[in-house]
Amino acid sequence: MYGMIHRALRQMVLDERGEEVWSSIQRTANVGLSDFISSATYPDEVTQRLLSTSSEVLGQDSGKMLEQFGQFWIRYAEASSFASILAFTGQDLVSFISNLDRMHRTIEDVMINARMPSFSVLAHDVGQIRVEYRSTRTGLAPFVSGLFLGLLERFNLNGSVSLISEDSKKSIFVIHYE
Amino acid sequence: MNEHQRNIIFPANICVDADFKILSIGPVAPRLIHGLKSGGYLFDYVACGHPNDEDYLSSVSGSDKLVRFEPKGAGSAVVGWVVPSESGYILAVRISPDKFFLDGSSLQISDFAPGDPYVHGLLMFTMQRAMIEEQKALTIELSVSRQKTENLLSRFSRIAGFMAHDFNNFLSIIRLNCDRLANDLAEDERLLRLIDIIRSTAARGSAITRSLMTLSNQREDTSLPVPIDQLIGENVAFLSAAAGARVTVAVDLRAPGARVLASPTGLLNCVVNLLINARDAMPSGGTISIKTFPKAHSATDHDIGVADNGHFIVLQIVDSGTGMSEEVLARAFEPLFSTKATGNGLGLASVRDFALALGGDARILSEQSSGTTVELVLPVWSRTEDPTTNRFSDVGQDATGMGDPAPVKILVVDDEPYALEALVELLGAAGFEVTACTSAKAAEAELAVRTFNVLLTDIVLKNESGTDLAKLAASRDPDLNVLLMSGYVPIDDQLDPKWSFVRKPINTQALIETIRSL
Repeated sequence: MYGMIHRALRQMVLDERGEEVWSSIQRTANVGLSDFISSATYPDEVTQRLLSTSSEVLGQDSGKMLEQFGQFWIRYAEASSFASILAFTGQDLVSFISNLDRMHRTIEDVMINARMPSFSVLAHDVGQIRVEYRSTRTGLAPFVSGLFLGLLERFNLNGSVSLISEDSKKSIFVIHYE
Repeated sequence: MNEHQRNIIFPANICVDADFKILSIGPVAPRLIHGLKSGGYLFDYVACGHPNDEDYLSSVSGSDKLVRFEPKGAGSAVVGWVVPSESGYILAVRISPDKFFLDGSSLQISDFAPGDPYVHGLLMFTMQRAMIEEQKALTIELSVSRQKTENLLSRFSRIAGFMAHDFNNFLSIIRLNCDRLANDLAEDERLLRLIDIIRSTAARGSAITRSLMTLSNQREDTSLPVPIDQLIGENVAFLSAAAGARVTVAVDLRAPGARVLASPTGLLNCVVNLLINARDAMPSGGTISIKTFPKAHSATDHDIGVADNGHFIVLQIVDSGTGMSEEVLARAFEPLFSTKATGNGLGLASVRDFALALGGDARILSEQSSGTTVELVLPVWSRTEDPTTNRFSDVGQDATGMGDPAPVKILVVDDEPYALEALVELLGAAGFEVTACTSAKAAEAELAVRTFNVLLTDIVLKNESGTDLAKLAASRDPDLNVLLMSGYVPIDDQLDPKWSFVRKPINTQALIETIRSL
């Protein structure tokens, strides 16, 4: 995955648990400053190691931590240099999710080794969106749930996210909001 | 094309009748041209910049002429074609951003048609700018992190240095008291052997503290009067190891007592550099000779500086290897010139620089197939002595019972009582008249009422400085010989060139000899 993800995870731990806890994660996961370059892509193994070590050190269930991280990711991106890209992607929940793939394609053009997921809005009614998530990676459904929760927060919506089906190729989520 | 298709391909389209009354608008049009709504008159909202926009639009309808519509109120310009329709015209327009920057813009991807290349361009430009910003942040982060690491290392270094210094003081006490014991037990072979073991173990411990002090950036390169034969003699094992197993190192030292004012580490590095070159010139092994001998300055030595006393010491490294061709010989000292595949061409150049910095020079004598001799010609160090005030060396000899009855008076200052006690006893046994002080303050009081020939003081004293004491004492009595001792190598510019220095743990015999030679 790309370094910005690593940086976001670091920021989340720093914000919530402070420098000492982060240093401990960094030591245990055997990562250094060179693993935190936003524009670089790293083997998934490094990201997995960071995530699992974080969940261990924080004493959190890995699924719960991934969801929390997904939610934080949106806040982190909003505050980063990529904020204007987020705004350009969409200024409401449906537009944003519908346009994610176009944004991701550009990232793939910029970062040759990046492998981005795909999001399709399958249906949307008032107060409900059905989204298909596809990725070559597995086990990230809780992270995606967190992303949607982060988006609800971003667009000042109250709501919830449910994973209604999942197989090796795709996951279907329903986002309910008021 | 139906309205649905039109809205997807041209999300900002506007349909008007023949009188330019708006019939319908695409989903994005009101976002781009604020206030735009069906039923209104087109030119209340936009202008094309022509005297008669209605006539102009009619004239370009159906052509491939691109028309730009500027909003009359708030909003963004749109650009497109005017296409005739059954009910009037369709303005197949899309947003036309003036720049590829998104900062502060309210645009979003949905404002563009699905395949609009502008989207990719805008994203690309914005992504690049964002990545530059991230890079800047990373650079700052790295710099802060480096600073933190440096601070941490420096703290560790200081602590390691202090610990090494204190430990070295304890080793010095052990060493000095071994010497005291040895004096008392001169007849008992077994006990003398045990003392020797303790002494040599203390010396090994001291080597470790020296490494620690080197790691903690304590200086190792202060220029000292180095007895060159002694330096090489003491390091033969190390030099043989540097030369490798296939080479025998033969030593022929013929400049006993001659000293060179140089960094001992720097001098050893030179010898090692030359040994490695010699070893590489003898791939099948052989013998390397390290030779020293004195040499007086001669008229042919115009390329060598003049030593204070006109004397030089020659240090030769002689190999029986492949030798150098004339071309190689001519360039041998040239920086970055090397005949080795992995050589950096700095070895010989740095050796010559070292010799030149000391006021000497380096030379190479070599012929192909006949081996190579590299020789360093270095000025011999000697104190400038006024024969009329040279009472001190006479007095030193006195102490050994060789004439003049006046004993050498030494003021010894050390805040380690055990070390002080041992020094007093050992120097006393050597015939010196010793006064002991455990602080600079006490020493100042002694200096105020008595005259001494030698001030022997530790540099690091509790809350005091031996160097400051030496400066004060020397200012009061210019004839006073100052001998500093420490586990640290002092910084050159804190020392008066006339002062001498001995390193802890103190080798008693060497100390006595140094005092006698002052």
